[in-house]
Order: sequence, then structure tokens, then C-alpha cells
Amino acid sequence: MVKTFKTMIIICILVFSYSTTCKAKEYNNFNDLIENSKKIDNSNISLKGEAIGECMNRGKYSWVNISDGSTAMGIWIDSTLAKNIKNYGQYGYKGDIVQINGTFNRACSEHGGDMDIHASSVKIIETGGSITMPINNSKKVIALILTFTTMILSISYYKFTKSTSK
Amino acid sequence: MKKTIKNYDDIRIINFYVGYVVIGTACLMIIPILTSLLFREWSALLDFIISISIALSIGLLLMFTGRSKIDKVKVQWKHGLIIASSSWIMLTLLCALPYELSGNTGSFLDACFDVMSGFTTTGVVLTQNLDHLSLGLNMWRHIITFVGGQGMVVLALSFMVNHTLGAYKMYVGEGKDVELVPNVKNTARIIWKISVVYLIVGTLMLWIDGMFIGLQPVSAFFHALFIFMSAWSTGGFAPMSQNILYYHSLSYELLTMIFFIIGSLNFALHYAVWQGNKKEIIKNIETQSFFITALVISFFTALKLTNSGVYSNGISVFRKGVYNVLSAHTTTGFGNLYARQFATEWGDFPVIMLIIAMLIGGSACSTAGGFKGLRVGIVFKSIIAEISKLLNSDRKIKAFKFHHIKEIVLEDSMVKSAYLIITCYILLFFVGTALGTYYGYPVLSSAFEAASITGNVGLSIGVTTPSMPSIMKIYYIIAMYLGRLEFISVFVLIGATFGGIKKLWLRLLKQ
Repeated sequence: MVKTFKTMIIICILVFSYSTTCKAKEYNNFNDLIENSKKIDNSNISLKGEAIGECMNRGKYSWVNISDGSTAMGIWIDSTLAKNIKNYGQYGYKGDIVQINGTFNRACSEHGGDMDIHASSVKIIETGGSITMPINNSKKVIALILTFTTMILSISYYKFTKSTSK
Repeated sequence: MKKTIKNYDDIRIINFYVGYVVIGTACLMIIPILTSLLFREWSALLDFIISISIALSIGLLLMFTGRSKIDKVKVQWKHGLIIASSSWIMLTLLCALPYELSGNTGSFLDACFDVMSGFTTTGVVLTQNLDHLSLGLNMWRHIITFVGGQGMVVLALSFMVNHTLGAYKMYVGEGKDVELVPNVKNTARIIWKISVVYLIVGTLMLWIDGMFIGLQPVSAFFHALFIFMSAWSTGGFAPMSQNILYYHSLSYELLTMIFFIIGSLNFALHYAVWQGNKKEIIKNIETQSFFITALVISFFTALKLTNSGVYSNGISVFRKGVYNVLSAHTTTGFGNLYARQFATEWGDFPVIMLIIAMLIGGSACSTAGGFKGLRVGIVFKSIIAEISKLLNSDRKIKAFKFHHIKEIVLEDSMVKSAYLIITCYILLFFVGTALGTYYGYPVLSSAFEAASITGNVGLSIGVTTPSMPSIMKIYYIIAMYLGRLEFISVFVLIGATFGGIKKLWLRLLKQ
């Protein structure tokens, strides 16, 4: 009985330690990846960011770029997985916030030395979509007044030029 | 009293032409206005309407003040140089308005920094949230860099119908001195014709390639247009924050490489080739100088990157090493690496190689910055001439020549001028490096950034960020401006300003 109990404890410890070592380190600030690129080269990581621009399909795999708000990182991803990302960030649009698990490459030999992540899984954390861009009312008024002023000045200059050239 | 009136005549004539250049450049805002209208970017549309109205009004007011004197006063050298240099200052302030109104810059200083970076075809960026920028503002950024490469004065001169007598003086003031045809107005038009033909061909090629690499047709077109404008003008701006890395494509990188190398060549060389003189490419001192320096720097950078194991295969070394060296040498500033990778991965030697490449720069009378290949060639020839003189007897007189469109005899005045400009660039670079170290940046990083700014390159090692000290931002703006206009016209402007202030003080003291 004691032997069985001990074996179970050892198995539990082993499973627990294995799961902790295998759990990919999560990165929300991509600058940490760039600064520590040599240390984490070829390791499994997890990162969270907004999908930006558009998905560039290259056959079986696609390129998706995700941004942490200031730095963007290229993700090499299975095209079927990439289809799960519906919204990409651009003007007037917020991209899907995705969590990517994959292998980090400091200088990927497959992709001409690019710093990239070869994704193994993708999870949509938050769905994006269109954003209403607020238009300042005072801007409208200022634009109108200034356009009017410019028109008056243009006409005045035209008349002035005509009078001086006579 | 008469002299005072004459002084005001100087100001009036300068005002007239500055106003003319301002209006010519402000009219370009119609393109982002139409873009914003087409893509229903209403907020951006209002920003551009406000900005164009302010710019046109100021331009008209300036022209008003000088209109009556335009036919009575002859444009002198000092006028031409001051018109060019002050137009750039005025336009930097006015063209920064859409940036500031968009809310994408931290301050108006940051907006001015980005505009000066665009006009001087430097390409360093302080604009934030680039990946969510409106298409209108992105269009404006790239128009600024495209026009800046050719020159705003050149643009204005192309459309000038009357009052073109002092045109050459303004043209020289903008850092260009080659007359392709006897008439400077027609020279300006030829420069634009060459650029527009390349724009059409280049955009088409990048557009097709963009669709092949997975971009949607509409977005592929805008990416192609923006990237071409930036490559041709050796600017370095890109629509996305990752710059060229965003595309993850060898073909896209190769195309940009071809375009920025062509863009860095002298307009006189382009014109000679267009006229059927293809041998000029091989014979020209500038292409020879560029080929030698680019080859040597690329070789040593690639060698070091390979030996230190930064990249594991030849394609990676070419795509990262050679691409960035050529981008630096042509003063483009396109990057397919993260800025900090230069510091954290490349090591000191490749960084020094890049600094040298950035300082040498492209060709004279092109869109590129730096010392220019022509001056490097002249200095090299002068050294050979000096050694040859020492080795030969005093009685033997030998004229040294170099080939630049035609055979030119190497004269002392040319050598002196080349040394003077190179000395000014080196001084600017050292002050920039010292300033960087004063604010706590490592020496090599400060030197890299200073070389990039001085040579109007645009590659960054991570120093240029919105959070950098304001003094450094101001210095970098001045350095970009001086580097692009090649010092003389800015020195004349400074001299005239101080001279004016001195006269005003003396007059006040006498009263």
C-alpha cells in the first residue's frame, strides 16, 4: 500500500514538473523577444497581440503579423489555422486579439533570416471589428471658415495680379 | 532710407518665391484629400482640408507681399539660396499640420521631425500607431518623401511659367547643381519626367509582386505605390511599422533593392542613359565609386556575419546583411530587421561598416544623401594626383581627369569644395554622436544614429523613439536639414538672419 502511494506521488510530481517545463513562456511585450532573442532562440513561446494588416497566403502556410501596440512580429502559420482570424487591424478597424503558441526563431533559416514564430496553435482571445472614428465638431467649423478665407484670399490675389500687370 | 527700402525688397522677393513653393507643395494635399474621400476617412479628410487651407493662405499672403517687386528686382545668389532654405523650413511647419491634427504624433515637434525626415528622404519615424494610420495620412507621408527626393523647389520650378530668371539660383540652393539641358525649368521638368516614368513602371511591378505574395489587389496597389515612392526617393518610409519585414518576401526585397539603387544614381546619369549613352554607367566616376565601396563593405559585413554565426546560410546573409548595407549605402533606410537587432545581434564590426556606408551615401544630384560618391571619387583622385606629383619630377606637369558625363579636369577648387563639404558632414556626425552619448546612449549606438541622420539614411539602432530627449529631436531635425541641402544655402540663411538682426540693432542704437 505504501509502495503504491509512493509511486503515485512520484508520478504526480513528474507529471506536474513536466507540465510546468513544457508550458511556453508568455510574451505580451515583443521587445522582450528582440532583446532576449539569443536566449530564447528555438524555444516554445506563447504571445498575445492584435492581428494587423492582412493575412498573406503562401499556399499551405500563411504570414500573419501581430502587434503588441508598438512592435509587430511575423507569424508563419498553417493557412487553415489562419482562417480563424477574421479581423485585421487597420485604420477604422481593430484586429482580433490572438494568442499564438509556437517556436521562436531569432534568424529563421527557412525564411531568409527573419525573426519569426512558427505557430502550432492559435486562439482568438478577443474578436475585433470596425471602430467608429469620432469627428470633432469644432474641426468641421474650422475647416469651413478656413476654406472660405482661402477662397477670398485667392480671389483677392487674382484681382491684385490683374491690376498690377495692367 | 533708400537702403532700408532696398532691404525690404530683398525680403519681398524672397517672400514671393517662398509663397510660390509653399502653394505648389500645398496643392499636393489634394491627393490625400481625394484618397480620404474615396475611402471615407472623414476625420483625416477634415485634417487635410484645414491644413491645405492654412498652407494656401500663408502662401498667398507671402506672394502678395512680393508681387509688386517681382519684375523690378533681379534674383541674386543670396536670394536663391535663402528662398530654397527658408521654403524648406516653412513647408516643414505647414506639412506637419495633418500629422498633428491626426493625433498620431506625441507633439508638434514629433510631427515636424517626421516631415523633415520625409522631405530630406531620411525615413526615421516618430509617428505612432503606424499600423492603424489612415490611408490619407499614409499617402501624405509618402508624397512628402517622393517630392522631397526630387526637391520642392524643383517641383515648383517645373510649373513656373513667368519669373524664371533666378530659377537656377534656387535650384542650386536645394542641393542640386546639374543642368541636364541649358534651361533650368526644363531640367526640373526632365527630373520629374524621369521620376514619374519610373513611378509607373515600379508601382506596376511591385503591385503584381504584392498580389503574388498574398496581398489583396487594392491593398497591394497602395503598398506598391508607397514602397516605390519611398524606394525611388531613397526615403525609407513604409506603410507598416515593420517596414520591409512586414512582407516576409525575397522578391519584394529584391525589387525594392533594384529601385533604391536606381534612385540613388545621379539624374544626369539617368538622362545620359535615356539619351542612349549606356556606357556612361560603367565610365562614370560615381557608379565606379559606388560599386567599389558597396562591394567592399558588403563583403566584409557578410564575412563577419557568417563567421560570427549570426546567420546560418547564404540567403540569410544576403537578405539581412547585403540588403541592409545597400539600403544604408544608398541612404534609403529600408530595413528588414528590428532596429535593436543591429545592437543585440550584429556586433560592433558590421555596425561600423554600416556607419561608413551611411556616411558615404549615394550620388550627387540624386535623391540620396551622404558625402556623395562624386566627392569620394574626387578625394580619391586628388590623393592619387598628389602622390603622383611627389613621385614625378617638378618639370613634368600632368593633368588629372575623371569622367562624370564628360571628361573633367581635376581642379583644386573642386577638391577644396569636396573636402569642405565632407568636413562639414563629419563635424555634424561627431556633434550628433557626442550629443547621443551626453544623453546616456552607448557610443556605437549614438554614432550609428548620428550617421543615419547626417547621411539622410533612416536606419535606426533604437535611439530614435518618441521618448528621446527633445534636444536630440531638434538637433536631428537640423542635421537632416543641413545634410540634405548640403550646408551652403542654410549657412547663407543663417548669415542673412544674423546680418539682419545686427543691422536692426545698430539702427535702434543710433536712434
